Amino acid sequence: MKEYKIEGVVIKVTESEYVLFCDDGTFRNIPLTKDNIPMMGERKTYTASTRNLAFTALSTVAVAILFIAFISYGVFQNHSKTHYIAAIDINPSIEAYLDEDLNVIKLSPLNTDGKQVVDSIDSDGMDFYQVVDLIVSQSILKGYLTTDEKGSIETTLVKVRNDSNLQWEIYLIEVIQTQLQRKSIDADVQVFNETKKFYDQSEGAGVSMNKYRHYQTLRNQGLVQDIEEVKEKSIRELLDMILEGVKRVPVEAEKGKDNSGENVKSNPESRQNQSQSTKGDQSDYKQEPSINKDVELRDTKTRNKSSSSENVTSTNQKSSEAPSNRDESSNDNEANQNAGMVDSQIHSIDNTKQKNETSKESQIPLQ
Amino acid sequence: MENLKLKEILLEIKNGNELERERLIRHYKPYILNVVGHICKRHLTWSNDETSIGLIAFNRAINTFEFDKGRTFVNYVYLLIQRDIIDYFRKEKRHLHLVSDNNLFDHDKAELKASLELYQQSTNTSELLEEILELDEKLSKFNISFEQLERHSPKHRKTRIKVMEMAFEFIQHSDLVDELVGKKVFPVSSFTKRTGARPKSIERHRKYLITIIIIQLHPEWRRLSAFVQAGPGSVKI
Repeated sequence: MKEYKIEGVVIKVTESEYVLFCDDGTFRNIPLTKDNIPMMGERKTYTASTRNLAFTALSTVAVAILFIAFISYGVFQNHSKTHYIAAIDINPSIEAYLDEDLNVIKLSPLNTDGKQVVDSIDSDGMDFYQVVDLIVSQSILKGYLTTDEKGSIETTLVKVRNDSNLQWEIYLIEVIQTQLQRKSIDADVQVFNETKKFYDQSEGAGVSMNKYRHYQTLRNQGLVQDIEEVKEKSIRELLDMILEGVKRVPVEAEKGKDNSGENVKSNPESRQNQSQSTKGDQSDYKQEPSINKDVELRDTKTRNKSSSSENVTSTNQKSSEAPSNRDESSNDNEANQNAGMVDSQIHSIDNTKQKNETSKESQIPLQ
Repeated sequence: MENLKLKEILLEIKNGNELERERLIRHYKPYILNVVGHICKRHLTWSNDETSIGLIAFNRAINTFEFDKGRTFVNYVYLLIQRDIIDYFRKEKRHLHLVSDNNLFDHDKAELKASLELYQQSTNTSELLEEILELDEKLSKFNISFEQLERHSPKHRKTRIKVMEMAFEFIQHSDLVDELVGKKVFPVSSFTKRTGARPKSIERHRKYLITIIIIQLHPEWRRLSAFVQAGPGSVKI
C-alpha cells in the first residue's frame, strides 16, 4: 500500500464529501470526516492510499492458494472419512456419504425435491438408518409418498473402500418398512449393492445410481436413447416405463408363438392359414416385431447377468407383488424356462425374417 | 466579486433595490450554507433552523456592512453568522436547562478558536472565496457542478498538460469563445477542425476543459488561475 498526499483548496462541501481543487489543476472528491466541515477556500491536505499492483497480484495469489488449500482439505477430509456412498430415490433423489460405522458425514440432494427434503433434515450425529427413516417420513410429509398412490423406494450402497464389509440391507428394509407401515403407505422397497465403478458412471451421467440402473435397462430395451430422458422422471415413472416395455414384448412374443409355436404344431392346417395370413399382414408389421424380440432377448440376457452381478434385495409393502417384482419374476420365468422357449423365440425371429424376406420377394413383383 | 462592484451593489441595496439584494443572497448562498455547516460541525440544508439564522445574519450583514472599517465583506458575514448561531445555541440550551459550566467553557473555547479562524480567513481566503463563488455561478450555466469534475479530470500528468494546452489554444479563437459563452455548448467540431484534436478526448474531459477555459478567460481570478497553468509546475497559493 502506497500513500500519497493531495493538496488543494476546498471549493465545495456537499453532504458526504468536499471537492478539492488540487494544486496540479485536477479536482478530487474527498469524503467528509465526522465533526469536520471544511470552509470553502480552506487549504487541505488529504492522504490517499493507492494499491500497489505487485501487492494486489500477490494478495490475489495468496487468497487463491488459501482457497485451493481449504477446498482440497475439505475434499480430502471427506474422502478420508467416506467408506460408503448411498443413493436413495423416492422422487426426492439424495446421496449420503457414510463413514465406516454408517454414520452420515454429508447429505447431498440430486434434484430439487431432494433439496427440499435435505433442507428439512439435520443429519448431524445420525447414522444412515436414522437418516433414511427421516427421509422417508419427510417424503411422506411433503407428499412424495401418499396412501392413494403406490410408491417406490430404491436404495443403492457403494463401498468406496475395499476393507469395508457390512450387512446392511435387511435392517434398512426393516427401517423403511416400519416407517411406511406407521403411515399406511404402499410402496415397493428395493435395496442394491453396486461397485465404485458403477457409482462413477452414474456420477458421470449426472443421475443417481438407482436412476442410472433403470436408464441402462430402458436403453437396452430401446425405450430411451439419452440420459436426459430419464433425469426428470421419478423411480415410479421409470419402473412403469420398464413394465410397459416388458409387457409389450411378451404380447409380440405371443403373436410369434401363435405363428410358429405349439398352436401351429397342434393344428397344422391353421399353420398354413396363419402363415398365409401373416404373409398377408406383413405390410403392417414389416421388421418391427423382430427388432423388439431381439431387444427383449438381449435385455433378458443382460438382466440375468446383472442379477447375478448385483446383490438385489426387494420387498413389497402391502401389495402382493410389486411391478418391478413382476418384471423380475417374468424375467426369471423366462430365464428359468427351458432352452426350447428361447429357441422357439429365436426360431420365431428366424421365421419372421424368412417371412419378411418372403414378403419382400412377394412384394417386388407387385411394386 | 470585486470590491468596487460589491460596493456599488450594496449601495443600490441600501437605496432600496430588492432585486439586487435577491441576487447577492443567491450569489452567497453556498457560502452561507458552508459557514453555518462549519460552525455547527455538520452538514445542513436550507430546511434547518441554523441555515435560516445564517440567512437572516447575512441579510443583516448586507444592511450593516461598511467598507471603511477595514474588513472584507466575507469576513463580516462569517462573524455575524457565527455570533447569531452561538446565540441561538445558548438560547436553545437555556430553554432546555442543559447549560453547564463545562459547556460554557467549551463555548468560550470555541469562540476563541473561531476568532483565530476568522483572522486566518480574513488574511487568506476572502479573495479566493469570491473567485470560487463566481466560478461556481459561471459553471452552473453550463450545468457543471464542482463534484462532477473529478470524473472528468485527467488522471495522468501528460493528459492533464494536453488538456490545459487545448484550453489555452481554445481561448486563442475568439469566435469559438463567443460560441461557448453564448450558446453554453462546447463547439467540438469547429475546434477539432481547427486544431486537429481528437473529439473522443474532448468528450471525455469536456466538463473539465470548459472549467479550465472559464478560469483562463478570467485572468482577474489570480488565485484560481495559478492552479491551471499549463505545464507540470503548478503554483501553490
